[in-house]
Amino acid sequence: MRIQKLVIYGFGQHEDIQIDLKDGINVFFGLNEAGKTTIQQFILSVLFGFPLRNQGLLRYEPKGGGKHGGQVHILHPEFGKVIVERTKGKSAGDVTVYFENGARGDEETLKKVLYRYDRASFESIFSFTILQLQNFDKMTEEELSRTLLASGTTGVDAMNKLEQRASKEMNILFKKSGKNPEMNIKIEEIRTLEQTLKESRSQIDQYEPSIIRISEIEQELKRIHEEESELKIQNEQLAKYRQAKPLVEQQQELKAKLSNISQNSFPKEGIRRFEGLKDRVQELTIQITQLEQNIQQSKGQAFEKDPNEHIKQLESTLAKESEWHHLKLRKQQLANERDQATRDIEQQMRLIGIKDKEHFSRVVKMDVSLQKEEHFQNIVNDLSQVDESMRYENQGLSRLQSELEESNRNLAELKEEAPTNEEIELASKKAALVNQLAELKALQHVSQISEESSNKSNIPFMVSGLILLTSIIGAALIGNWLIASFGLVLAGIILFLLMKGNQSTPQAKKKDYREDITNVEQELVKAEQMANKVMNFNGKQKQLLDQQAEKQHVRAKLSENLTRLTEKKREANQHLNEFLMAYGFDGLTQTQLFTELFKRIRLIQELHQTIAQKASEHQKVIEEIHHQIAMMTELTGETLNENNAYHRLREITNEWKNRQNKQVFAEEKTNEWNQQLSEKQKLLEVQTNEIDALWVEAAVSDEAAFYEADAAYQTKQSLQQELNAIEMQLHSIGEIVQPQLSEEEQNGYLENMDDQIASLEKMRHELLDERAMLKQQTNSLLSDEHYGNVLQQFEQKKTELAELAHKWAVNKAVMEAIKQTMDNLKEKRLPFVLEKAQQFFTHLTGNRYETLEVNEEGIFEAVNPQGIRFRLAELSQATKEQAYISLRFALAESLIETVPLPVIMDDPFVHFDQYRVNQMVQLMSHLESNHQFLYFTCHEEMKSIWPKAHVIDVAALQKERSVPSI
Amino acid sequence: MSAIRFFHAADLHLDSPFKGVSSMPADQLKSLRESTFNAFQSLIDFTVQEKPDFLLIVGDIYDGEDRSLRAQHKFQQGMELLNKHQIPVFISYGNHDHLGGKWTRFQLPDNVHVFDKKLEKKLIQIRQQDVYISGFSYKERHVKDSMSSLFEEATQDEALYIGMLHGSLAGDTTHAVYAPFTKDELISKKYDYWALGHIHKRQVIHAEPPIVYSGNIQSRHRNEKGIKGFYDVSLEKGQSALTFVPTSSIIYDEVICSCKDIVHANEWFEAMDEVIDRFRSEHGAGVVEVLLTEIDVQTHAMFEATPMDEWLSMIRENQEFKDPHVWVQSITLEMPETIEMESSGLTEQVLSIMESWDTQEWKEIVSDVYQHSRSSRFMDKLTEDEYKDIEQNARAFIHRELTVKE
Repeated sequence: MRIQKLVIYGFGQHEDIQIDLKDGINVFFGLNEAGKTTIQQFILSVLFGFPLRNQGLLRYEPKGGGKHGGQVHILHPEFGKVIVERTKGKSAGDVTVYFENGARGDEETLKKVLYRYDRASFESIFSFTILQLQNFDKMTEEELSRTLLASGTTGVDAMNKLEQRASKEMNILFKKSGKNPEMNIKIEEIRTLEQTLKESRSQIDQYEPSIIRISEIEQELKRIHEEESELKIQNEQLAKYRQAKPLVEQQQELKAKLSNISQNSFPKEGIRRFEGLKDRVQELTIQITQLEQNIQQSKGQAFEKDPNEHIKQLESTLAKESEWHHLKLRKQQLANERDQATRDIEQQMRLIGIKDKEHFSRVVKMDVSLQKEEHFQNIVNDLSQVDESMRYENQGLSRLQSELEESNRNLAELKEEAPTNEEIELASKKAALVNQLAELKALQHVSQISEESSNKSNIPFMVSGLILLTSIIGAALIGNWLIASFGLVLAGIILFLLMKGNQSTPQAKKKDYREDITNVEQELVKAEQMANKVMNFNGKQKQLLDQQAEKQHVRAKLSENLTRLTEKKREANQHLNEFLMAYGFDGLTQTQLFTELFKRIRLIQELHQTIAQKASEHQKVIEEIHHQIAMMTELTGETLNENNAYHRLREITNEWKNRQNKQVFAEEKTNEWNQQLSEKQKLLEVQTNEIDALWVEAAVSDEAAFYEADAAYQTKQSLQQELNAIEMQLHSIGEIVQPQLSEEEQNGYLENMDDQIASLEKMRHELLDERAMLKQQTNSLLSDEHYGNVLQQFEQKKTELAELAHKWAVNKAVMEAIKQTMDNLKEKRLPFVLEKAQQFFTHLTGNRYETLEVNEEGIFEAVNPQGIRFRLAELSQATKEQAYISLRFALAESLIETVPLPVIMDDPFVHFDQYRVNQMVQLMSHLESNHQFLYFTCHEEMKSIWPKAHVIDVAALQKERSVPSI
Repeated sequence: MSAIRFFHAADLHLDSPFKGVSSMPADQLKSLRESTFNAFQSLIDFTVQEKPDFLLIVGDIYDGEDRSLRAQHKFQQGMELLNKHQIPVFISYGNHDHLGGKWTRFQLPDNVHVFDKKLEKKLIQIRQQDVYISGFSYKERHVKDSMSSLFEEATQDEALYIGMLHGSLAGDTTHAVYAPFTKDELISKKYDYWALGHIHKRQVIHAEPPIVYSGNIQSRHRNEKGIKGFYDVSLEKGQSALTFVPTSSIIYDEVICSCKDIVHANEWFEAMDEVIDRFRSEHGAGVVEVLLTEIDVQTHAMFEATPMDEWLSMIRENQEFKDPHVWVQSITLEMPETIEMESSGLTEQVLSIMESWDTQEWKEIVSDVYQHSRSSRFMDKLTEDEYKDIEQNARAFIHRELTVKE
């Protein structure tokens, strides 16, 4: 690759400059500050980008403020003519790559053009400066070696670190025999899961055997069931037989008994029927006998004559019974009436006091006419008037008496209130007191006028009066007169003391009138009261005495009237009593009863006549009754008395009637009996025939045999019943198979069978359990998601492992690539580079050193023709630089096929002597055909050192500005 | 002649584990694991609902030795249900459930016809239409020979002929090669429909007559992306209509998330949410691998600042409580060439060395792990692509490490 032209738009101090370059050596000459380094940086910047602001390199933005950037025209072995233009844009600048064919490219295209070399890589191989040479000896041996080893490429450290990292990462992921790296763990997990899967699979494998086993079990269960039911049938048979055995025996026994009884038939309910018939025959026989007797008897009883005539007479007599009773009643009535009248007379006689029969006869003849009665009535009325008057007078008298007593009492009361002598005396003083008062008042008036102004000091009186008053009030309140008297004394003392202190008042005496007036006035009031009292008393006493006298006068008058009336009464009584005495009466106590007496006597006279009348009537009735009785006695032939005559007569008549009735009844009865008798006899015959029929049926000839036959038949019946019952039982047991075994054998067999059944049962339980378990297992297998889950987990882990493996593989690839690169460097390029470097070095040093080698420790050594080895550090500065340059040139040479980039040198030979410079120039001239060199120098002589070199005077560039032509 | 209608399903792989998923929480893992059952249930439910004339299952109902009893039990239950609804089922066993296996076999109901190891031709009448169904079951795991020649040529013009073949198209090595056949060979048999199984990717090899892989009913692997299901086929002479019926309860797919103009993490989270939500509303539950595209330097710098594992767990957290659940299995950056890092000569050398390795060299390099006596059993052989992947990652790693250092 050759740089053909540089077009600078603006870069540092350069603006609008165009520089044409040649193949081979181009020398940029300029003194310091001419802008050599700027051009160098321009090339690097355009090709690899403006330095980023943080990289610490100068960006060379144009000082004049023009367009930053420019073009580098390249002749590329692959792409031909290429223009790289970089201008200001994003921080690295905007790149456009123009190709011959008109195509354009960007940053990426540029990379291809530049063989993917970046600035650092470029600088480390193709660009060197005096600075690098000067620092060369400061490098440690190791650094130097490694740098050289790495063919001057950068990033070897990073590369080494990356390799280490990748290796570490790999170790974290996987170790061949490790346990903890992620993948090893994962593998272990997967192995575990695989194990689980295997287990699950083996479980699943159990499914089919389980299913087969289940069907086997089902077969087996079926077989057991059959066997069991077979056994059960046998067992049942035997059990049935054993159950039926006693019954069969009983059946046989009964059958034997039955065959012994010959009585084959017996009338139904024969005994009951026979006995019923027998009873009735006996009953009929008795009835027949009875009837015959009755008939016989009734024939012997009959009347001799016809009783009907006699009965008629009796009945006609009986028809007169009411008449008879009337007579008897009349007789009684009359006797009663007579007796009543007699009793009434006796009563009246007792009332009016008739003492004996003689008196009675007088009374009967007594005149009790109305005139007589009126005469005496008047007398009686007078008497009663007199009595009334007397009673009135007596009443008046007694009232007067009580009034008198009243007035006497009033008088006595009044006397008690009579005024005492003192009072009377006091009353009599009244007049005197009035006079005294008038006198005193007059005196007072006089003294008041005279003393009015002189005496003003009555304080002692007021004080003592006050005390007195107080003490009196206190005493009155407390009820203690002692205090009062004490107060009085105190008042007196004070009065006295005060009076003494008031000696200046000589008119004390005149003051006394006032007190006297008060006293007299009080006394006068008392006297006036007393006088009134006495006067009052005297008036009252006089009034009472007058009343008393008047009443005594009236009493005397009344007594007189009474005496007169008593006389009149006595006369009337006498007149009356005379009349009564004439008829034997003692006289009346009460005149009012006189009328009554008259009435009674009249009644007695009437009663006397009535009694006589009744007595005659009574006699007539008695005679009639006797006549009647005589008639009845004749009729009955019995002596009848009055009282029960008709009763007896009726009885006798009834007796007669009864006898007649009985006879009629007896005749009827006899007829009836005869009829009954013939009926009974027929009945008897029928019954007897029936009995015979029964006997015939029972095949017997007499009663005893009949009973025996019944008993036999009964037994037979019950036996037959038993037999039936047994047969029923046997039927219900069902068909019985007679076993071939004996009793003992049977027992043994039964026990054995129980065992068998038990063992079958047990077997069945076991099988059922097993089947249940298997079913459960198979069912759980059918619905088991575990296997699927594990499988999924297994897959997931596998995927995770694959991912880890992928990661590992990436690291491994990185590591491997780095390793191979390094190996490549060491093994392929290094020997080539070394050989070239050795050639150059030998040439440059003028054969002072023969070879340049890397020892076992990876350290460069220079070997001289004598075979002596020198470490680089042991060489002189110039020789070291020669060694370095040799290596650089060798590297560039080694890359000539793959990366033919121009070599940029910044005055690296300043330390070289002329000889060495010449050697250097020679070498470069030799390489010029393969490489383009851009040599920057400030040394004038360098302009002409290479005869073919194209020299560019940097200082002159500014003057020949030109506008870029694109 | 009237049209018949049948369902063509294959490769149920019931209860087989989902491969290639890691770090998934247990509950989500469970729904993932149940997915084959759910898909099978969808098949059965749809069959019961639609009542086709019959159902064809072309092999690989279970997953070989890994079959669980539960899987067989579930399958049996499904068959019982179809029996109840009087829907005939024709089964030919494949390499994963060949007749030679010593596993327990469940009694299948009468509606199910299982083809024998010898090729068999079965006549079934559907509404007076004769239908011949031919097929065979694998007698052992490995049936390497071509079986297609054994199918009889169609002879009756009126009848419909259907062939059931579990095997691979000659030359297709994406799956293990079993019972290989060629398209022309099958066409030459003049059948009306070829129901194929074994290849999990749904594909119509030939349109008329249809030669069809229905694919598996549920993806079980990161390599089995997209919607899975079976074919609902209406067939009459010279005419066929195929309708794809999805069954997969969990979709495994790759989604692309453009990172254009994304500078901040929250912008990226939003973009991811949008992408995943779109997937969710379209497919429901699923597992996705996210490919980030249109990444520029700044976006790249953002991603570089945090390890990708952390980004992934953040995205997973964001998605954790959304239902139906979408599990983000991985996030990959599509690295455009333009973002290649500055590389020094040495780095360039390292990279170029790595680039120069061929498969054999790669194999030796990783042999410590991949050929290790203990671990190799649990690891699949690496494919070319995977080596490429490793190289890509290694390259990124070196770039990252060396650029940061410089």
